[in-house]
Amino acid sequence: MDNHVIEIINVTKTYNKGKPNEVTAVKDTSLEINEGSLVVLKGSSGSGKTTLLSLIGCQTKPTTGEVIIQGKKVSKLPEKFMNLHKRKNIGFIFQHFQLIAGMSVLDNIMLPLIPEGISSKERYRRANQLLEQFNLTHRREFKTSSLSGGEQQRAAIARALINNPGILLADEPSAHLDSELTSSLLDHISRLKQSGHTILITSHDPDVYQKSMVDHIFEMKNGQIISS
Amino acid sequence: MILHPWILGLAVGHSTLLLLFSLCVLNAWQIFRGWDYNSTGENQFLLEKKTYLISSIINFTLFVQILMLFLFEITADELANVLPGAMCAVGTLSSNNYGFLLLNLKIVSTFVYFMWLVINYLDNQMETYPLVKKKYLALILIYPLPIMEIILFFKFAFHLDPSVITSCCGSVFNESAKGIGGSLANSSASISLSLFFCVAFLLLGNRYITCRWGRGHKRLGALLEFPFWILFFITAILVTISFISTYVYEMVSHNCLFCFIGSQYHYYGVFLYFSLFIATGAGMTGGLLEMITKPAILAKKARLLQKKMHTVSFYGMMLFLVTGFWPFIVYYIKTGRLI
Repeated sequence: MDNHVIEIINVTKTYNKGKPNEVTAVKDTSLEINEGSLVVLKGSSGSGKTTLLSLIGCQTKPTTGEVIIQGKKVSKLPEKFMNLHKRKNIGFIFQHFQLIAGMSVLDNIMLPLIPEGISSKERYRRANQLLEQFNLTHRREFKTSSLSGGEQQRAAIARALINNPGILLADEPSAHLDSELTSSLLDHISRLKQSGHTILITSHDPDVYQKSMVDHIFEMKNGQIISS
Repeated sequence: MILHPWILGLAVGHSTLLLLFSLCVLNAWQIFRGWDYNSTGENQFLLEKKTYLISSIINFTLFVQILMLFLFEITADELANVLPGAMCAVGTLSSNNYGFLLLNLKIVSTFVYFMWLVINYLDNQMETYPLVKKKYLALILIYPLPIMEIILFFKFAFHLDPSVITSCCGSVFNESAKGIGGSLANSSASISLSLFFCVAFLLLGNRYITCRWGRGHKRLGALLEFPFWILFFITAILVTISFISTYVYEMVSHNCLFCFIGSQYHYYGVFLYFSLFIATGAGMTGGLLEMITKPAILAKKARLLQKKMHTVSFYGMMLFLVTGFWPFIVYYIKTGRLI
C-alpha cells in the first residue's frame, strides 16, 4: 500500500483576491507523494511551482482545498500549530538560500532549533555534525555573506536538515550554480534520499530532473499539473 | 462635566475600546454564522484567518477593559481634589447617581471579561478551534456590557458638578448614614466575619470533598465553585467594610473601602483587592471550565487549566486572608485588645 507523506487535494491558491492584480497561481491541483521518494516539479517560470512548494512547505495557506502532510491536515491548522508541524517535519531550501547575512554559518544553521527549546549543547552538537557532513567546518565562524555560492548552498541545506525533518523541499536549488556545484548538490540530495528523506524539488534544469534517482516528475503549466 | 485629564483619558479610552469591541462583534457574528470547520472552501479559510485576527484584537481590548476598572478608581480618587466635600474616591462616586452604578458594573464586567479571555486562551491551545462558535456567541452576548459602561461613564462624567458639595467617605460608610454604605458599615463585624468564614470553609470543604469523591460528585463540586466564589467576593467586601477597615484605620467610625488604596496607607488596598480579584476571577473561571466536557481532548486541556485556576484562587484566597487580617494581628499584638 502506498504511504503518502504529502497529499494535495483540489488546491487552489489565489493572491490578491478581488483586486485588479488578482493572480491564481495554483488551480484545482491534486498530488500525492510517497514516503522516501524524490520528486521533481518542473515547469516554466510562473507556472506555479514555487507556490505549490510553499503550500506543501506550510509557508502559506490555500484559498481552497486541502494540504495533508504526514497525515495532518495542515491547511486547517491555526498558524501556531502549522508552524510547529512545519518545524518538526519540513526542511526548506530557498531559491536564494535566505541565510541571515550578519550571522555566522554556525548560528544560521542552529537558528531553527532555538524555538524548539533544545539545549545549547545539543544545538552545537547537531550543527557541528552537519558542518562536518557538508564540509563547512572551516567556515563555521564566517559570516554567510563572505561565503561562496556553493558554500552558501551547503549551509542552506545544513540549516534545512538541522531539525532532522522527514521531508525536504528545495526551490530551484541549482538556479545559481554552475554544473560542478549542481553535480555536488545532486550528490548531497542522493545521499539524503538514501537516508530515507522524502524530497521535492522544483526545477527547470534538465541536469536535475533527468537524473535516474528521480522517482517522479510532475510538469506544471498555468497553475496546473499537466503531466506526471 | 469637568474637563479633567483623567476624565478625558477615560472618555477616549472607553470610546476606542467600544469601537474595537464593535468591530470584533461584527466579525464574530460573521464567524458564528459562516463557520464550518470541515469545509475546505474559500469562505472557511477566510473565517479561519479572521478568527486569529479577531482573537488577538479582542484579547487586547478586554485586557485594557479590565485595566479600566483600576483607572476608573484612580480617576475617582484624583477627582476628589476638585469636588467640594470629597475626601477620596467615595466622594466622587457618590457625587451623582451613576458613580457607584458604574463601579459595580465594571466589577461584574471585569470578571466576565476575564472568563472570556480564559476560554479564548483555551480555544487557542487547540488545533481544531472547538470553541469558536461558543466563544464568539458569548462575545456577542457580553457586548451590552461595554455599551452600558460607556453610557454610564458619560452620564457620570456629564453629571460631575464642582459647585455641588458631595459626601465624604466618613459620611457614606457611617453607621448612622442612610443607604447601602451606612447599612454595610452598620452591620456587625461578628456577623460579617461569620458569614465570610462560612463561605471560605464551604469553598475549601467543597474542594476537599470534590478531590476525594468520584467523578460525578467532582462535577457537581466543581460547578458549585462558581456561585461560591461570587458569595466569597460579596462577603469579603462586607468583612472589609465592617472589620478589616477598622483595623487598617484604627478607628471605629471610619469604614471606607477606598482610602487605604492610596499612598497614605502604603497602597495596602492595592494588595488586598488584587488578591481578592485574582482569587474570585480564577475561582469562578475554574467552576465555569467544568462545563467543558466535549470533545475529550478539549476537556482534558480544560481540566488542566481548571487545576491551575484552582491553585491560583486558593493562593489568592490565602493572600487575601493574610493581607486582610494582618492589621488586626498587628493591632492586637501591639495593644493586647480589640477595637
